[in-house]
Amino acid sequence: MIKRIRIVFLCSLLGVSQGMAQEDFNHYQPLCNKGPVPVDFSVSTLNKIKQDGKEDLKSLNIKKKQFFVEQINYSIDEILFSGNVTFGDTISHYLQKLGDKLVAGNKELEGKLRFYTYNSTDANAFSTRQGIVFVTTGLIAQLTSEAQLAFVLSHEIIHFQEHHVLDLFEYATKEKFYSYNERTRFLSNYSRENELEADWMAVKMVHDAGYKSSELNKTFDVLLYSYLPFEEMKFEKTYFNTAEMYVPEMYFDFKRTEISAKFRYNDYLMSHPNLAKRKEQVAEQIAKFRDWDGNMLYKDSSAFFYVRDVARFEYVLNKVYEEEPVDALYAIYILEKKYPESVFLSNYKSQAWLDLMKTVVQKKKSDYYTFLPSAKRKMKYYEGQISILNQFLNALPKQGKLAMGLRVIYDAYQKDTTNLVAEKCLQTAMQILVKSDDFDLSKFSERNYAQTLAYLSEKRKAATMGEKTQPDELDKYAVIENQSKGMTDGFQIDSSKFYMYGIADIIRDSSFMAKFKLHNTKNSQLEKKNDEFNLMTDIEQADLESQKYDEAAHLKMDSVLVFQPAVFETTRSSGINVCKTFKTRDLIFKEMAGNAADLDIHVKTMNLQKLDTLNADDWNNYALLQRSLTRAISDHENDFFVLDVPDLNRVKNQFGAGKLLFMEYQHAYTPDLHFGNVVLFTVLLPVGLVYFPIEILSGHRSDWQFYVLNLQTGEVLLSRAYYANEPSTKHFIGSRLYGMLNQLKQAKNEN
Amino acid sequence: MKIKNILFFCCLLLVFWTEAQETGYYGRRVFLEIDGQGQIPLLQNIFGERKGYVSGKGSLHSSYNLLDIAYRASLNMAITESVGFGLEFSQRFYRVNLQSIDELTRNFQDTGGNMITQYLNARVAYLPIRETVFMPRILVALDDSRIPCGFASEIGVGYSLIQFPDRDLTVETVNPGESSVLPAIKKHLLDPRAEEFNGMVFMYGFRMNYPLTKRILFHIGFRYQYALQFGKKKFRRMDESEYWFSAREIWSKVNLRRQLGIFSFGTGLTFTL
Repeated sequence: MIKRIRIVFLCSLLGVSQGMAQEDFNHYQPLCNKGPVPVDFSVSTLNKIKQDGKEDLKSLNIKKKQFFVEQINYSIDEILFSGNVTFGDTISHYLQKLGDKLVAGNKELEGKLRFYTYNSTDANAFSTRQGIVFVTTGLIAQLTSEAQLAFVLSHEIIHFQEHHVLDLFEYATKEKFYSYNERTRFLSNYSRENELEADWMAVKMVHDAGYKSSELNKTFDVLLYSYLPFEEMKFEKTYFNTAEMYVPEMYFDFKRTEISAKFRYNDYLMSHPNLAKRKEQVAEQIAKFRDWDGNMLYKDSSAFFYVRDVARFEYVLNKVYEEEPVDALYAIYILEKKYPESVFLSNYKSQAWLDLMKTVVQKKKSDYYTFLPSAKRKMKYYEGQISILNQFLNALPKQGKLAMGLRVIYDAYQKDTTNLVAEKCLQTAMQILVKSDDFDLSKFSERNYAQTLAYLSEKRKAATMGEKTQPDELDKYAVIENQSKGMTDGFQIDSSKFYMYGIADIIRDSSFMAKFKLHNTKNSQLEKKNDEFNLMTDIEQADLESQKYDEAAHLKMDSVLVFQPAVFETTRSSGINVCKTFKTRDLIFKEMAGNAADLDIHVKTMNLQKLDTLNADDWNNYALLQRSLTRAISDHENDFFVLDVPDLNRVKNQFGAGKLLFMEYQHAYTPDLHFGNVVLFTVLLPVGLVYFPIEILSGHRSDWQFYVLNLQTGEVLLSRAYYANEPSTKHFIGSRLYGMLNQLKQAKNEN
Repeated sequence: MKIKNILFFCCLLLVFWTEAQETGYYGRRVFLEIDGQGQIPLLQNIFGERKGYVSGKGSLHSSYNLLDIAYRASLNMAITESVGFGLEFSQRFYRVNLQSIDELTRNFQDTGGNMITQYLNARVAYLPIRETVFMPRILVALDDSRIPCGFASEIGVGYSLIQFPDRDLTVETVNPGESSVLPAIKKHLLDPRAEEFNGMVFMYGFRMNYPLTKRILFHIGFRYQYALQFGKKKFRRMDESEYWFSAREIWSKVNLRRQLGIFSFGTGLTFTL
């Protein structure tokens, strides 16, 4: 009996401690997989395809069925295994409970649906033919009630119940003779009809579950304004003020950019009807339920708001990793109201400021790059309250951005000097500062804003007493010098240069200054080397560059953690050849292991080859590395991002390898033998005799990308790209990997 | 002999040449290639020259000039990941039709100083040619392919030695009653001054090298070559000759034949050493 009580007590204690840990947003940890691994994660894609292939899809012929089953399973597994989907976590657990409640009593659906969190800032939810429902953290962060979430889930459940995925595929493939335009128009129209049907049927499901009708139509408001931050909270003019930094309020006197989203828009060629149509239809449907809201209704549980806060913390994390510092800072501003002591928010605020600071030292890119999606993202247009913050940040001069960034990052570090991420952020901030031509520490005041005001007031008082405070007339150069230090001509504070008085205490911090000098010396050495390089002849420069290129790969690597490679075997029409993709992936692992053994390199792998052997911790490591790699390699030459170093160090210790190797490989056989070319070069036979053999033999396109990440420091040590006209066969892959590993194993030439 | 010595030392140099370890196929930088090469000069046969003769079963019978094969062996070295250098030895076997029509003609001064012109309706078999080439060549990989693996272009300039391994050609008179003159004709059929010719070959080729094992690769590719033949001044002079085919005629015919065989197909194996 006592034993049983003990067990119950221990269990309850465990439950309480887990609950406490989850609710501790001050020490929030990113969303983690927990518990047993669901079948969706533990069965390989090929097995899923095999199982699905056995299913009787009478409406499709064998060829279409094979294509459908392959592509649908591949696409869904790409999402499941992207590292962004979590299972057993707080949100997924909550979603599952809510979903089960919605289908309770429906024998057709009960027990068939699985709900997972999809970690993304987009507000979205989608279901699959297999019964998986994904809901993004971005959507949950935006919702204001559980009823809205119930409506979204119901909508997705209806898609599953009514087999809309298969239905749409059948519709898309049934008529062969439609032109591309016809197909697009008809298909989008058909898809819109499906969406309206899902909305219409979802209303009943929500009604049956006992939620308030008034919340349903608000869901469309959430969808319409989901491009805005999750709250429309007025930005306080004093937010950045601290004891040491004063930001004048005039900096926030911008006009807020109006919110422009509209419910009624042209939905021609869109997969979803415009929100006005959906809203109207739902309102009509609600009106049919006369007793609705008369009965006792289900009230939002506190669990919803807890889950929403989790989603909001994830929103911050994702925005920072997506390099959208303005969005991240505004979200942090909102969350800090509720969780002012959160270490998580403090760390990510530092990260966001690093992203702002680095724009000062980033190399200017050519016009071509301005058309890239990453560049477009940075030119983002902000509406609503966030536009005030955005305008303030844009109005800040380069020096101001650097000083304010340093202020925030320095304060975060001072709050907890044992915080490794905060320390790394401060070091990185110093690297940016010494790189910048706009930051001259000697120009900054050693008195903060208030102290300077007091000092000047005293000086003025002394002047009235007859003391001379300044020369009668300043020469041109003294005026310029004063201006650069944030003074007006009249020897007053130039409040537009408030930041010149914002880091006075940092300048006085001798330990900071010592580290800063060290970074400065390193930077000077680099600059000296650059000067020497500029004085070299073209041949000498080319030699040095080529030597540097070779040397960069010499990492003296004796052990390595090989991460799941991203492999794509594409077809002529840019589709994925699913079976070949998996074969090539296996081949890469096999050849990697063989070559590493030949070269005496100890290889550990973090891969998805044997899914049934992976546990929740493995999936967490996988997600961490996937997220870290995505950010680390996106623009590693210009980036100053600090990865989650403590977690990376944990992975390093767990696998006993300090470096991580990640490969991307894409292959296609696409000889340029289009009808026109074939006719032309057949007529011009002598040219054809050259053209055809070359095209046939060199039609293979293999793209390799290799990245090496230092798990100790979180830095990308190497990035290499190779493009070759090679097939993806055993020894082509093997010899390429041998060459790469052989280089990585070598030590740098000390000369 | 000199050439042999030079080649030998070049091979030795290649074998001991070492540089960064990352180049080469599975780290092996020196490789031996053995190839077969051939071409079927269809267009030339259809639209160009008329059919010639080959001997068989004791008589000549008409045949297209289709034989054009070669073997090649080369020792190569990957200097960088994308550039290789090699020395190639090859022997090409083909033949030339010395006749334009079924007639033999000669024009010479006899010992008495009389100009003699002779005609005879006769057929002569193809003249077999053996062309031996020593060629230094450079291999350049396309994009980031790694020599010797993958798609590569090859460029080479070679020295050619053109020889005629069988000068004892079968001759047949059109009129069987005149066959008694054949021994005399055969005695003076080919001018001995045209024993061998020298020339050069400018080659561009491309090939795809498919790895079979860690040591052996299989390649397939095409070559274009422009052949230059030395001795133009020596052999182009229009002089009398008591030989039915003067040195000038043989030089010209061989030169023309070499110009026509510009495109060939080759395949072979690469062995890393």
